[in-house]
Amino acid sequence: MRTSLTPRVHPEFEGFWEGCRLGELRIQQCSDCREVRFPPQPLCPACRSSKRDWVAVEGTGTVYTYSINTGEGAAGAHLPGEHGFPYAVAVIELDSGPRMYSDFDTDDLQNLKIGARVSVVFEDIGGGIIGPNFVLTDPT
Amino acid sequence: MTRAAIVGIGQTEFTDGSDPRSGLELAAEAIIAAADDAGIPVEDIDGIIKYTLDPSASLEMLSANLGLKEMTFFAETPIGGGANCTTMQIAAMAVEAGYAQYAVGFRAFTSLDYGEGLRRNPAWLWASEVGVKEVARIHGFGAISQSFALQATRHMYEFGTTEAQFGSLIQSATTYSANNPNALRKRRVTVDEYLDTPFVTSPLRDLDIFQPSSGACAVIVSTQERARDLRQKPVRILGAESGSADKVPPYWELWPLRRGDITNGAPMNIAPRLYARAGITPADVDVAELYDCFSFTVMMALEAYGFCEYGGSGPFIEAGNIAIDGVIPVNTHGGHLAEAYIHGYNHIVEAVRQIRGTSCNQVKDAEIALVTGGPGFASSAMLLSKDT
Repeated sequence: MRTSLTPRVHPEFEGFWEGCRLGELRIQQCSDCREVRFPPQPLCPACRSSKRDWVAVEGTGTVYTYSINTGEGAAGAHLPGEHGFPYAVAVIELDSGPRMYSDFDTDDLQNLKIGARVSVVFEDIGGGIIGPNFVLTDPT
Repeated sequence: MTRAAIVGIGQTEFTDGSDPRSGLELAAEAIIAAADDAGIPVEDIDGIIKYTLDPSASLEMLSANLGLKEMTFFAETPIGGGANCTTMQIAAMAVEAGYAQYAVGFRAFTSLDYGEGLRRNPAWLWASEVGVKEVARIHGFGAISQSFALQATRHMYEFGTTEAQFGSLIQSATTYSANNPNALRKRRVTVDEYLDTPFVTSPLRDLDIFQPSSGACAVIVSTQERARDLRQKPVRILGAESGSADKVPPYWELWPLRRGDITNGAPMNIAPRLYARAGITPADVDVAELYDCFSFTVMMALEAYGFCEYGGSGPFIEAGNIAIDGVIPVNTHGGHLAEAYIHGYNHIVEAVRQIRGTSCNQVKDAEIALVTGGPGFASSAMLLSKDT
């Protein structure tokens, strides 16, 4: 986790953060057609229903793409947090379909590859909020 | 084909942000210059199309300061630099339908943009309100360069695109800008020099990221018939198209999370419609001014607009095809990477110069030019030609 920023828990995201607190990765699901979506939004793009709920998904997936932030150049907009540079931001494709962000610390960068397997962990962000992150499960 | 033509272009000096003047003054200077270029009195401008997120000047501020008479047409475009050619599409429709005689589109860029411009974007407001941004921020995602870097990494994985091929693109942009008195980055950078610089957000280096700038450009559109009586050779708008991509999340920090292929987007939808409307093929295009907020977006455009096969832009650039004597000269002013970042409007101005035959890097016998917008949620593009 990279920042000490405390997420505001908006009603649209409540189930997501609550799941993290309970150690469960929750994705928004349409109550009518069962399509899952991330991030949450009011209407289902598949059937336009506004009935929505949360479903726990397996916290496993693969690295779809990543970018390493070095702190060089116009780095003011980057958010290194307490762990500093370099760090990677990655897109994780969950085995259940949706894609989410993760980050990886300097020590992990050598083994970070597209296609690498990952699983979710839940980390303290601060302010009593727990957030999801992913770790490499087969770093060989 | 449309019956509209570009009759006047104007711009200010481009600076690194040190110009102390307000956005309104920059916009006004560019619009006055465009009217002078066309040979019309400023007060004959009766239509204005602006970017919604341009905080420099409102319609009423421009009207008051330019001493305009009755405005008969005004419109705004959403998105940002993706909609540079949308402003021209709207202007063309307005003059063809007779809602305006002289419609001006403009973009004035100052440092105010980075903060104030975003507040004019409902997607930004929504993302801030409900906490969408947090799911990116907690992972250290906070710059738009990262959004394109993530797409570029996947492009390298899928197609074998190399760092040296990005370097070839930068060498090309700076070869052009070295010859452009308006350019902020005037020194040519070789591939080896590029490779010696560090990553900012891999695979992007500082040289792959647009030049922070201040400045303004303005473009006046009228009918082809009226254009023939004016000072400059008319530059015909063969076609201008806008389009969105499929299944793209509604905020730039979320774009890389879309399902399926993330290595291209809206331009793939726009290109076939644009060529069909203009009645030409990619082989007919003589010069292309491709939106380059980041180097990678040029690769996306080369592939989407049919100059090379999908995924093949890296080797295409490396083989010299985008140089002045190549298959398709690209960003002959240096683009956002080397001239200045005026949100796609300096690309329109340069394309007009190419068709008039007045560019600092003139492509011999250029008759048809392509201009593209930034490839985010939505984009736009335009084909210009000599009067026919």
